[in-house]
Amino acid sequence: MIIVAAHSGSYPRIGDSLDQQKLRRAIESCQRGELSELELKNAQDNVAREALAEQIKAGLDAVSDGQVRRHDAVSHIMGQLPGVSVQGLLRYFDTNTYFRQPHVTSAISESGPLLADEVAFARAAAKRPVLVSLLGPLTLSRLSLIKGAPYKNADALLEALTPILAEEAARLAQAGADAIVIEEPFLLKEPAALSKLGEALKAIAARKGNLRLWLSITFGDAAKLYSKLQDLPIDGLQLDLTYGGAVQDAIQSLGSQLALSLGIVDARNTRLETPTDVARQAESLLKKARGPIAMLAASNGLEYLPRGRAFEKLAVLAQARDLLVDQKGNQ
Amino acid sequence: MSRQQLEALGLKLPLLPTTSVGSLPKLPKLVAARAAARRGQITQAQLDAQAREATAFWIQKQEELGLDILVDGEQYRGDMVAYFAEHFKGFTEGGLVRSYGNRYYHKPVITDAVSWPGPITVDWWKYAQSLTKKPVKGMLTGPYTIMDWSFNEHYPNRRATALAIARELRREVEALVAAGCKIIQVDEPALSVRPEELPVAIEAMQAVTQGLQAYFITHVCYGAFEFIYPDMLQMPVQNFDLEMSNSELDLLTLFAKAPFRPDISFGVFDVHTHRTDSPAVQAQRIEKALEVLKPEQVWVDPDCGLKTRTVEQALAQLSAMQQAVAQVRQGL
Repeated sequence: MIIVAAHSGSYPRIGDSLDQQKLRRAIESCQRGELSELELKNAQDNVAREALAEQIKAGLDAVSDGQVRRHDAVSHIMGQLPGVSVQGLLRYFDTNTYFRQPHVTSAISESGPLLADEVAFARAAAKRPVLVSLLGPLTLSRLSLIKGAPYKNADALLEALTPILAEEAARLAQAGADAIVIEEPFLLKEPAALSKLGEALKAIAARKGNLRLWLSITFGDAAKLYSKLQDLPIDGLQLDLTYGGAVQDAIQSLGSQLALSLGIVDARNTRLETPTDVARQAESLLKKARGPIAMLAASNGLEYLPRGRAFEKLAVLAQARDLLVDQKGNQ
Repeated sequence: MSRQQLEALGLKLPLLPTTSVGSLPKLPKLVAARAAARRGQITQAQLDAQAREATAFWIQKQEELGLDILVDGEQYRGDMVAYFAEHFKGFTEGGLVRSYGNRYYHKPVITDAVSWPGPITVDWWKYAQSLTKKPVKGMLTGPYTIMDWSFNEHYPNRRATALAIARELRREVEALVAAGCKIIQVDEPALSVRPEELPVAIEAMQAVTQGLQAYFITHVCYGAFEFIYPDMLQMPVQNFDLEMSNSELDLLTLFAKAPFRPDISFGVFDVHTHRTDSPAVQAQRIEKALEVLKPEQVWVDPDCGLKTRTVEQALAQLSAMQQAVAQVRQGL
């Protein structure tokens, strides 16, 4: 088993120093009409390069573009689809951050790349494996509001979103992504939707080519669903291990037929873990996992942390990986 | 029952008493003064003088509008959690994190045992109350929300953190009660974020309010109420101040399934829009409320604090609310 330290989600787009706040200033300037859209895109590119460089400096094996271009995870995807208008703010799960709610007002359709351009940029800039995460059809359908569209309910919207996301998976493979991480935090609020989600993942898996397909369950403990998640048509399962420990017990008890990505450093709190503790916990869990690869990861996107601490958390992951590799000689 | 409690406290309120949730827009002069204070160009005393002037402005405006229970408008506060983190011992200012879009804030970090430093809001409440004969609410942020919206590097878990904050916040409540404050609002906008932790929020509120002689309100907004209703009614307060209009009154559907028995401060207009809903529209919302709630239960207010509105917008919206209530009262 290869053990890697990896990050697939968001990275803080500004920091506390003046220089680290250039994207914030660029957006403000653009809103005042003092900066062109092209100049704003250049500023975003620069911050994406910084996010990639900081992840590499922290010692990660696989990185993301930090999602610095996304207003939020929901509207960035839904807002690109015909038939959708982006409206007011809603709280995003158990965070003190907000997303703009999509209103689906007519039939949605596939209209070109959603994230593929961003991945191609990251792949060229990072020169190492790039992971891309995006919300899956279950969560997107539940966080959208259907207003007069030809969808009788959220399940119908889920079914309409699935081929669009499957097409995007094919584009992401062509763009050079090494893995796609489908985030489905809403599954914990609606466990009965698991079979619907399974069908959607099957359709996405059919178009992904050589990409590894991961499912990520965050904003809660997935213990109650854990055994059923093992049957999904995915390559790996990314789990948030910071919600009390029940899912760790499930892994210990049931093992894993799937590759595991352990969301083992807390992306929601500044308290810094030690590499030794992370390595010890990971070693115990990964003994139970199959699959050719295992990932050490943050429990969630890192945008909930100050930038300096986000970097330190990633460095802990890399140091824990080194401890595991040294102990096992397994890479 | 709650009306009897209010009368026992010496408060006789009309049917459908009107109030505001808490924050009111900062006057442009005060905004400039706060910026100058951050740059070190004016002293804290000079800034406080500006905040007192703005408080007096809002007390006068609320009286002119005819509101029944007034607020100080929180002219001396910034963020609702950061304000208390700046005053309680045990917190340090954290780095910048994103709230939404291009907005960022310094999220507090708990690095040591939280402790009450002495009265924080009491002098401001006394000042506001000295300007009016109408009751002025004491305004605090609740322990669960302070916990949830802070990083924790000191306590072993979230429950321990919330209860530690609650024990210290109670001392502020006791100080407000001792000063004569009879209506105290303890805001918990984070109440619904983790439904499985509702018992923790209830336990923490119990630690704040138990046995104290005051009428307690909690304000909750922008949450997934469907996951915590009706269990949330176990919060030990007399009045739930709820955002209703932003969600198109869909909470009334929940109330129809499981009766809402405490008092409610019913949000009759969305605060995140420049639009002013007409008195007729707001009156319709009150009438809808009265289809499932008794008039004796219902207070009327905006969905949330008005600090994101301009002074003119807030005055127009509150004026329309007062007209709506007057219209509905005539039919009772």
